[in-house]
Amino acid sequence: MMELFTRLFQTTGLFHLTPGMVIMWLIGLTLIYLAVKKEYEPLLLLPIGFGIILVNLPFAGLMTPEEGLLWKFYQYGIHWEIIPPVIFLGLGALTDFGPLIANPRLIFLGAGAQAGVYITFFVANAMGFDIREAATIGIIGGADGPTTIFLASKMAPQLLGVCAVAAYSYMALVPIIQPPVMKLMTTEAERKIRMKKSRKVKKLEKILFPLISTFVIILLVPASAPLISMFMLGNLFRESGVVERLNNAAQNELMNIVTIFLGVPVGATMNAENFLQPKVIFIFVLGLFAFIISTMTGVLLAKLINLFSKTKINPLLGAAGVSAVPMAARVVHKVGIEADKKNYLLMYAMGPNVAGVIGTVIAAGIFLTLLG
Amino acid sequence: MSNSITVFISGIVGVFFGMAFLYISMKTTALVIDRLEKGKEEKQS
Amino acid sequence: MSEEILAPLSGKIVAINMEIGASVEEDDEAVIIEAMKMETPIYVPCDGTVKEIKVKVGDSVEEDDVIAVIE
Repeated sequence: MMELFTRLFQTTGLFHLTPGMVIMWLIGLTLIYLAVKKEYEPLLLLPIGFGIILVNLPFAGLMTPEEGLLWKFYQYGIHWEIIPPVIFLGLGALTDFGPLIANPRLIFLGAGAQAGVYITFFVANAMGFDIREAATIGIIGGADGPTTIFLASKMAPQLLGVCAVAAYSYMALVPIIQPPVMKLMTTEAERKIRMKKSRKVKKLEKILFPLISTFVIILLVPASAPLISMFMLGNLFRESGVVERLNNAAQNELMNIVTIFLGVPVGATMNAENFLQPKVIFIFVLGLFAFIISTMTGVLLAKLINLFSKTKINPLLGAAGVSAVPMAARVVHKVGIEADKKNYLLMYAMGPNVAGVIGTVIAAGIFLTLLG
Repeated sequence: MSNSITVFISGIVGVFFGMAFLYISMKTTALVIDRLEKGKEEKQS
Repeated sequence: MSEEILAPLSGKIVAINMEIGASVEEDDEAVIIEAMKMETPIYVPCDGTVKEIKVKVGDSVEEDDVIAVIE
């Protein structure tokens, strides 16, 4: 009788619970709390948090290779590189390249902020992370979730969950992380610089932009093709004006559906033995470092351009090269109006902001080419 | 170690190179479109 | 002399904080435009009285559209 009872008890999950699992539950619950209460990237942190809890329930087997439900989501969605490009299709349909086309030179600020990615990569590698892991950690500084997940799945799947959580939580914290750095790097007078009125962008230019970018970027960095192709296709849907239904599907229904299938398995990669390691703390520290350095290099590049150019750029715009769209652009605008309340930087900041997305994808493509 | 320096430098150079190409192609497009429109206006007048 | 308030960015008008005929001072809030899910107040560029308001709440404006005329 007693023996039967013990056997029954041993088949329950409770018997196989480890302290690590309980800690992971708390981490998952914290992410859900931050999503619900503080609305930190709720669309992703909520499913990720739930995924973390699910994978730390003993014997649930949701991540068992070939069998588990979440394993299948992971394998066919992320490992097969389907979901991040599909998200990029939606992002392309949501993105207005107008502010960038109106002010083409702001594209360099989007490149400037990527220096943070490579500096962090270098530092992480010097700290002892394997070169492929270092690349994945560096790309957090691009502040682009799908690209981080895309690169991690190819370079260092063991770090995918951590890097995704770091990227998304720092993106939510952009309004807290960036302003002190921006103020430190600029003078009051620089923050007051007003931008020259931008020229009007013609419809034809907007249609040609995704086409031309596709040629240029894929010819130069073929490894970035999965993300750039979908990004530009989505943008072509948007700007062509003739496929409104596809445009809406890409930016609403399709994007929402894949977001569900992205968040849960990303969370599910974080089981206790994988996550509770000292190096995870270093990844979070390096991720923050990457965000700060990216902001700095963006601002510095804007100042460098000002040295050579007659029409001055407000150096705050450099911070928008960190591709957290549109948070970074909003932050630039807010810091700008603190110095001069009639300086409306928002639309100008969208230029480097969307350029930052392209820059991060190119950066990921280069990592894949060199280390893939 | 030297490997990571190579990646570091070629990465930064690569991103700027890519963006510079994109910049040039955007400028060219704008120029060509402007020319075409001017050409049209001249024909009409 | 009259001066126009132009929209510095495109977006949706969510509030109008002035009335026709009222006198306004420089740096008063004229309207609030919502763009990128953020509300941006647009300020009056000079002292004067409001002669005309060309938008209403809920309108979408493009960059450089005339919002109001100050005299």
